Amino acid sequence: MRTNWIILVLAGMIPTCTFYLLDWTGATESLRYISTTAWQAGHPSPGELVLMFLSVITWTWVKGFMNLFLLAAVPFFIADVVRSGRTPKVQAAPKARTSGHS
Amino acid sequence: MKRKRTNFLKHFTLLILALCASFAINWMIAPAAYLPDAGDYYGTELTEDVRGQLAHFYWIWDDQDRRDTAHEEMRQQNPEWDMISRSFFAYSLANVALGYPAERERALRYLDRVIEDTVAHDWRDFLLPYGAARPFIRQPASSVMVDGEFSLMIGLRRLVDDSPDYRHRALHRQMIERCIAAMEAGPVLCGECYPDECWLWCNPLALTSIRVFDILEGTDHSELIRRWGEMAEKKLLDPNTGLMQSAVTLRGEVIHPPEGSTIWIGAYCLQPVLPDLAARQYKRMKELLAGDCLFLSYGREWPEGTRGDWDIDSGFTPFGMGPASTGFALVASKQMGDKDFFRRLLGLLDIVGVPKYTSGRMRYLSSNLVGDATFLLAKTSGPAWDEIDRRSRERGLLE
Repeated sequence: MRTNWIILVLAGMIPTCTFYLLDWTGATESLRYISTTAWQAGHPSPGELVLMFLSVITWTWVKGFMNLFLLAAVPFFIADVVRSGRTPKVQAAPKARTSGHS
Repeated sequence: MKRKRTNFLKHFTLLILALCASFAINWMIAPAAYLPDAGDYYGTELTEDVRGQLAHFYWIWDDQDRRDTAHEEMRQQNPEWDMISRSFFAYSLANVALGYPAERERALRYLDRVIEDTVAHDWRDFLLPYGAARPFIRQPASSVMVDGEFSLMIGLRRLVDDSPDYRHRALHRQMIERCIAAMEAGPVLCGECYPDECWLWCNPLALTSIRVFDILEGTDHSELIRRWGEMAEKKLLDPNTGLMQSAVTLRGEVIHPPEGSTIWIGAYCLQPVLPDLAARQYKRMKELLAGDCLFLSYGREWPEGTRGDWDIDSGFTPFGMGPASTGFALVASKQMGDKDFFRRLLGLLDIVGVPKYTSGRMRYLSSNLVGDATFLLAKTSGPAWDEIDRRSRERGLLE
């Protein structure tokens, strides 16, 4: 359960944080090239195109996919918390038996 | 090994199920959670994004270099965009001045600034190069596109505040007289925007501009407007779709069939002068030029099942979605009071446009000046057309 919600939270947050990082560095300005009429000789460069696509993709996380992944993580997180609450009782007995067998 | 594989499949299935459930929940709550409230844009307070957009335009117009750079960038791509970014900003300011009294003085100040800077240009500066490739059929040459757009700028300014010593009264009259003469001379009551090319964005806009002039000057061109409406029904509609053509020759032969990048604004501009025709056209446009994707809407460049060639007006149209058509549908839907369509289009704009705030100023990163001006006009639209309607009725120009 823990692995599941961590995977989902990371899947939601890493692209989102990447967008804000791109925004902070000014790389999201490359989004102007979404309009092909902004294309001029020499611009966009391959690097600007990569940044544009990266900005577009990460922006879709900010506006939607982040919520999709974070909401999906909720049941796993709850299950993990509930199971963690039970852990001392559940794990104590089997542990003792296991060590006995080995 | 088998147990490991089963365990992996179990986790994977659980993840997929959780994502599906999340998708379903997000879909269900999307209209409430992710779409803006259209009512905010019809309210008595300017919304935060409109304030931000206005601040961005004020910032541009506060500095000569910034203004020149921004408009030169438009001009290099398309001189019409330079013109439209000016005129749509000016119309937005008129809406703000009329609809939000606290903003009136500032909006009027910038409106005057835009007009002063714009009328200093030669009208040919705003035409694409092919406008100079051959002579206009009607002489002396003039463009209903430029005269209509600029006279409406001045007319709306006078609608906000019409002091007797306003310096562009004479210019206003000249522009309107040229529009009327050009339209009356055309066999289908359409004036040339380019040589032998009459657009059904510009001609309806010129009609509204003439109506504003009538309100201000006490003249009456209702007869021309009425005849234009009849002519449009007979000769300017596409027989297959019932939509307005985009552009015709002086004689009414089709140059560009119905395109979203033109006719949404045509319907928008007809609303204060020929409201019934505008409403019918808008309804038809909704049927043929509006598309839905999940909980969002967009404008098509061409009716479903047909397609034309991409050009500078249409832009790139992935899956039939027209960026220009979507922007102009936003303007028309706001004016027509189509709140559901308006908010779904705004929702799309919010995703595709990538709004960015800097020191209280807001612009759309994937847009440009003309796009931003279009969105601003859409969000502020209403008060100016309402004022035209109210005063037309007062004068008996509209039943």
